[in-house]
Amino acid sequence: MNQRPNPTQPHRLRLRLLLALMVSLQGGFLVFLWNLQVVQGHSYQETISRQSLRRVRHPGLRGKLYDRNGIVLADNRPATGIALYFEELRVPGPSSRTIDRIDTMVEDMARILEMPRKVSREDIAAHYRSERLLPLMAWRDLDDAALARWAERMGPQLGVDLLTEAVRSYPYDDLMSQTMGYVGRGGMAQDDEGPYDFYLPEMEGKAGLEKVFDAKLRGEAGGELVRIDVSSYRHEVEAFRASVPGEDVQLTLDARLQRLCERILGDATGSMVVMKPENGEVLALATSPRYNLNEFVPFLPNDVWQGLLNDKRRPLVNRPVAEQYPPGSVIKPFVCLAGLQSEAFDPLSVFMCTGSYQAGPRTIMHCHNRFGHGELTMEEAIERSCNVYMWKLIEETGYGPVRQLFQQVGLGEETGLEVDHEVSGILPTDEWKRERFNQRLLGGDFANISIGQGFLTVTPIQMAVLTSAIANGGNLVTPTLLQGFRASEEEPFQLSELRKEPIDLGWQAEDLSRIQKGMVDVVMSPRGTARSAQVPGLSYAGKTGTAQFGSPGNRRYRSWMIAYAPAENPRIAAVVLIDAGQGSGVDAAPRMKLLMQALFSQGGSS
Amino acid sequence: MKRQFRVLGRHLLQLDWLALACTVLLLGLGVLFIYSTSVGETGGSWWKLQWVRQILFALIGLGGYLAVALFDYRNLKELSPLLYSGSLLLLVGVLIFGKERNGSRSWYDLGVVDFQPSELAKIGLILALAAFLNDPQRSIRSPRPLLLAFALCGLPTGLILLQPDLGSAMILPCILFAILFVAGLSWRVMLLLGLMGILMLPAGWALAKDYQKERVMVFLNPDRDPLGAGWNMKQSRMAVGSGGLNGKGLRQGTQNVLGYLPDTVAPTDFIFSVIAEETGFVGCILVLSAYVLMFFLLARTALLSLDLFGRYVVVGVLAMLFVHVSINVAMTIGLMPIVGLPLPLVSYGGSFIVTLLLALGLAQSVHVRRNAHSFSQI
Repeated sequence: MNQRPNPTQPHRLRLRLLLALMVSLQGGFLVFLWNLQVVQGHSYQETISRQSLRRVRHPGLRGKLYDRNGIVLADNRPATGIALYFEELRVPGPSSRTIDRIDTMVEDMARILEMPRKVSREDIAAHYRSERLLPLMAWRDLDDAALARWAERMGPQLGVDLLTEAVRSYPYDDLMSQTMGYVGRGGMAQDDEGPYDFYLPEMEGKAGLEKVFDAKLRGEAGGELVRIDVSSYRHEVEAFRASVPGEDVQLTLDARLQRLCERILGDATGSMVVMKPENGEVLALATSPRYNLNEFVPFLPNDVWQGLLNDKRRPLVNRPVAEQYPPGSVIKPFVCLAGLQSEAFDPLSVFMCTGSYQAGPRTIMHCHNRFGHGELTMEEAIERSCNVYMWKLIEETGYGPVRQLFQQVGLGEETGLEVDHEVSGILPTDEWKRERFNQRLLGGDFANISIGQGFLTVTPIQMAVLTSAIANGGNLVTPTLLQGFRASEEEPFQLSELRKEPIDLGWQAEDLSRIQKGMVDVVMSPRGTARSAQVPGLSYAGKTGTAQFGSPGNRRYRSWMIAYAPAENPRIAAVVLIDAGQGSGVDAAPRMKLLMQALFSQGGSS
Repeated sequence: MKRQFRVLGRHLLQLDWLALACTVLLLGLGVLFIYSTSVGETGGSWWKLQWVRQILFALIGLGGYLAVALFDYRNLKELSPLLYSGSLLLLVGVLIFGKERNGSRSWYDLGVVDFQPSELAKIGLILALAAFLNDPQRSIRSPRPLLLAFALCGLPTGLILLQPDLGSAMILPCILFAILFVAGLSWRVMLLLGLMGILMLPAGWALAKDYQKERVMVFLNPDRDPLGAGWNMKQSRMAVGSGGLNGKGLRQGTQNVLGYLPDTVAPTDFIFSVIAEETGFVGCILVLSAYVLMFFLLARTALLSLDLFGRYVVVGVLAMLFVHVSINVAMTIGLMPIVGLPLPLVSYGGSFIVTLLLALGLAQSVHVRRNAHSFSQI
């Protein structure tokens, strides 16, 4: 019955053929695998890394801003919030289940912690969609009571814990607010390393010093390389690099003097600048009105922003640097100096002021003293701020020497102070006027310029530089707010680049001393226009000025006073400008007096 | 009684120990890498863990393996029509009582375990063909027995296609062809069959279900459905490719651990890509070598068989093993459209492990009762 295999049957051959087919197929697989795994292996490994690794950028802790005495002006405050970690809260199945669970948790937490919800279900869903490998902050910046309720009633749980973030804070609220600037949420910072996949919120300087020194303040970003699973949840941290905190910045500013100036300005709209005349260090850069910087943290509410934008007094403008005004009479000492330097002008000239001046065939201009000042030397002209003297002076010298001096001291150009939105003012030239009015400058224009009216405009910081030049014996300083940087609190502040040295303007000492004499008389002489600003025991020099503007029915004044003190070996140069005031004697001079009193009578610092 | 034990002992000594060692090695690898895919699993009772269940299935299967090996396969000659008809009945039954899963009715839900009758049908067909061709009266050189042999294969294949389960259905014609080839099918007929097959392709395409067509399209262009059918294929190929020479280590395969290779397929149909990722090319050589060695040993057993019935049975088992291995590996490394076929002895799944071990036990039964004198024939 059983059929013995017949050796003559082709079974052996056929089996061998079959086996050969099978083995060669497996061999083919191995050849293919060799190519796939060994030859091309790296490219597949890279592809896998690309699909499962994400780079998350961690910004460095922002550096702080200090005043010259080490008072912190811009600080970082720890703000503790409640973070939700999605990878620990995930629910298998469709994404809506995970979102529902987290939504319910937030709802429960809001009830238990007695806090209104800050994140909606839509927020949770959005976070789930785009960045579920990062924690979601359910609440930010909790107060102590809320933290106590958390500790007492909830505490850390799976997927929920406290997380502390750094928040910018300004201890003195509105101190120097426009110059300080503010921070906002940073955009996607472009490092050398190319784009990251995820960016943790970063403070970015949006305005003022925060913006100007942003690169220093920011520090170096660190980051983590997160391996995500197929559902984009955080799986593990593959690599981590700590961020480097930003550098601290020390300012030349004296916070106490700054605050003093801001108090002196009070409710008036205006600005004050206090500078060291020998090197241009800005000790105070005050403006009014101001706003509270802490309202900008963590982000500026829209209604506050709109309020600031629409405020007629324009609190957003940093007046000492970003607003240009006709200088009025404060320019006269410099016009006189130009006269002294001009060969066309006899330095010993005495001009007669009758109260009026024939500027053109049909134009009569008046001195502010309609009765006339009588015969005046240059010193007396400065002391009493005579217009006619200036007109006659520029009639003799022409505009050339005056324009040259203005150019030399930097009018019409930005001073280069470390602020944003600085304006240059206008130094009128023929080209400038042709562009605007298709006409060159005429005699009337020169007359106006010589008394600080007309086309000439300056900024308060420029006037501080000009005043410093008179005070320091004819050197042009570059104003600065920057004292130095330091990488960490253990190190001293150091200036990274050298200060710009003052430039010798080449002014003759005897010319300068006549101007200085005139300016001292402005304050110290019984006929001086700023005699009301005298401070007992202090001899100092100054010049007042008033520029009119507005319609005749609603005439307003810009009231100036420049000064340096003490008269011998000056330690400060100061500028007060009151916008829309009543006149120099009423607005600027009393404020200058308050400043000088504070600085020199009570042994104030400088 | 004593004598029976002595016979039993003698038979045990005659087992193909190398084949058994290969079998156990592959089973062990399977358990190890099923364990590797369980990284994400947390909680649950220990007996619900897949690798624990796999050990259990393997032990049950090995018990059956030894029992069948010691049982004289020649007794199955008379039983084969019964077994064959029984498997057909189960195939009909599953179309009515089976549990629908992923759009096909292939499984009986037996409560504790699921049972796939198509697996049994493979053994049923092997036995039926071997018994049918064992009769010297039926030469496959004449058309009638040949047609009958085709009918024997066509019935269960058709029933499995009705489920539908294309993967399993592909196995049966391969078994038929392997046995006919060894039995001496003339080259002319083979050529004819080949031509007919090519001519049938368009008809097959027309009859194919949409999802089957889609799989072929996705194979030709994986980006066609990058998140659906193309996903597993692409991720599997990336897993294999990234394994490199030495692999990433047990439980270190990111494709597996991070779930890019879904945990529904990683321990089952795509276990080879887990092995390839975690042990690299070296591991692939080891696994494929174990299979190649088994092919050799089975072919040797076929030649050593006392009778034609035994020879055909072993060739059928060999074909079954080979086709599973080849299709699974080819699909895993992206050389073939995705067909749901497990990797023999390694993939997770009780029904197939037990069936295959029973089939390999049959081959051992033939080996134990081999013709000692024909060793020289190899």
